[in-house]
Amino acid sequence: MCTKYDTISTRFARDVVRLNTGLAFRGLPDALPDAELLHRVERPGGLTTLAVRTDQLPDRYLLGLMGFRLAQYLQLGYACEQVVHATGMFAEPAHHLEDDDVHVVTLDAQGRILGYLCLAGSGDSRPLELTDPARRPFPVEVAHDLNLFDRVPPHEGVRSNHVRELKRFVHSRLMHDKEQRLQVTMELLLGAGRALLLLDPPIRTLVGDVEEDVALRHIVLAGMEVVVIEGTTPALPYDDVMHPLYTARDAVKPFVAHVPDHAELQRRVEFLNTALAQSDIFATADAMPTAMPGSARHLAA
Amino acid sequence: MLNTLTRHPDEAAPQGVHEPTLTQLPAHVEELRRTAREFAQQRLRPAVQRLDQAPAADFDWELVAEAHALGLTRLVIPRQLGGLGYGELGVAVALEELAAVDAGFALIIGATMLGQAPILLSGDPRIQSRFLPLFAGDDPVLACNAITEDLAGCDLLIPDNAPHAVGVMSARRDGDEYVLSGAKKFITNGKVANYATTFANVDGHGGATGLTCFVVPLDSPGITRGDVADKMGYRSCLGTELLFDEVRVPAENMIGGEGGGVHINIAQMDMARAAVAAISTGVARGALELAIAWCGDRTQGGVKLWQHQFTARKLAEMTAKVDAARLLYLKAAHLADTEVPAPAYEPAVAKLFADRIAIEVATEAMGLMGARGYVRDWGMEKYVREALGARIYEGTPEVLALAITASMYDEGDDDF
Repeated sequence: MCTKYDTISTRFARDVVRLNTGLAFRGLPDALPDAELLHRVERPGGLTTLAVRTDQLPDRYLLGLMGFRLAQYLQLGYACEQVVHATGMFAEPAHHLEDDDVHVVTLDAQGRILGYLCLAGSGDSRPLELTDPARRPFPVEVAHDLNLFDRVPPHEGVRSNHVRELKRFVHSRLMHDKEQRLQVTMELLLGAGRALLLLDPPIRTLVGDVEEDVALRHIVLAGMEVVVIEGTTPALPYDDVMHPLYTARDAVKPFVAHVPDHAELQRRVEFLNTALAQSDIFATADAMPTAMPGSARHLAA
Repeated sequence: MLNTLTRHPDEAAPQGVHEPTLTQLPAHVEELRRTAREFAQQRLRPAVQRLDQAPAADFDWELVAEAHALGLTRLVIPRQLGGLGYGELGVAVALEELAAVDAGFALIIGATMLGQAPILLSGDPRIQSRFLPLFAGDDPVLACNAITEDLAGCDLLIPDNAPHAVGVMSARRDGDEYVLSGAKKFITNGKVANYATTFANVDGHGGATGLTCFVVPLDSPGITRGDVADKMGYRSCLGTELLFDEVRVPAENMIGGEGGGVHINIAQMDMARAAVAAISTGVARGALELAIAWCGDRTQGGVKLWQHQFTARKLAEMTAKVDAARLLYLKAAHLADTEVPAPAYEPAVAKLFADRIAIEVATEAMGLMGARGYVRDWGMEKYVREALGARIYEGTPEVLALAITASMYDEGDDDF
């Protein structure tokens, strides 16, 4: 479906990117119920990071987040311009979101979105064993056509409601400053860490798919012990707006990461929180592998 | 702090479930009325005199930002595009509240909706997706509708006049773009809008017979925003000339196809006239409220003014006119929301009547206040100036009369 040199689709996609890039959401923090937020931190200079469930977001702001997601993926070449144009899409469809999906978002002082990630829930109406054939597969499992937990045995007692899929870990393409980019990455990791601490039931496993040199680095940086599964052939239908995810990128591999126990996770979150309050963000990043060691192990096909 | 407008998903029911009755508006429209009234009374009223007496080109973005934050600039945009999904009924009710305090501010909001109207009417999800979510962010965004020209006013509104229109902005096809050249005049919000739904005549068609609607971002190369008109009223909104010098517009920005502009224009007018009637009703109500307060306070001949029989008669006539105007615009707005296409007759009748009674009520109210009605400090003379304004835009009484009589004689194919 996605072919090059389709001028009208490219123009439409460019307009969608421009539209979403121009939107600011400075009212978002005040529109949310403070007491119920999983995470909220404001830094000097105006950087604000929030972790919020889908059902806490006013429609307009949810659309804004979904528009940001689409705009970034269009710019990366991971969203199909033709599908976007054919369907008149300006934001990723929100209908597949679950009420308890967690959105971690970093805004600048003007309310422009600088970074975003999603911790998506299983969608099962009741908790199921991870090897249960009736369990609703996570999107990563659909794309890679496998049950991740057939390959990586779940920890004792972990059921579908203890698992989240890490999705759409993206930065604004407007950010060119390395220091700001690194800070946003770490703010998002802190927000995700806080969410993992507070979610009930506790999240014990993360899944997703990554390129070796990109998102995997961030996950290991966050101190996760990641098992990467080799040998899959991921694909999405051609009418899926995200099908270039698996044609435009180098090898994309599914992973399972076990979340540290509560005390260790708490320690790591505190480390990140303290470190982010320091002025030297590069020193903080350098210290992370020692303070919160992570690893990646590859599981052969 | 004023509450931002939100609508619970359960309230997004089909119109039929929430139809107004003769005595009651739907709950979500009542909520909107309260919000608009609180904003108008608490935030707009203290600024009215400053806005009215400021230089013509002054514009208060802070107040616009507050209105935007409340949702007033996205009332008619569907929820799935980041709007609130109100129909004309809600819009009209909100504009009456704003106009009762400042008609100019009501027109800032109304003109933005008029800029949104052709995009909504297009039914094209692609063009809707490119322009309507602009209003969903937290930064205030305005739009405008660019029709009127120096030599062509009513000639662009009345289909039978189209062959006689002269000097109309031209649109020349060039590959997958159109090139627009010409000038628009007295364009409300033209100075401050993000984009203009612009009507131009496609080359090869005489007069305005090839009238076509384009969405044109106003930061496009070749566009110059001209001087602001120095108006006698409606001073808080800016009417501006827009100059187009070989402005290139992608073909996908066209709405309704080549020559479809006349139909878009008719449809948007039939939608908008109820809202303009609401503005005139608001102006009349504002003047009436001032007069009621004055006549209830002022004593002459040993009794309050309202207890004088002549004054009582005037107040009674004035309030009857305002109530009648409101009923007419509510009916027209309800029909505009529920009939496809929107009817021509009821909105035209509502506007014709409301525009007239606004002048009558404001003039009578000014007389009741004597000298105080004539000086600027008391705010009454502003209502008189603004009552005269609505006769000019969205159809003069003469144009409205033709639309009404065309409906009466069942020449409805070309309703305007």
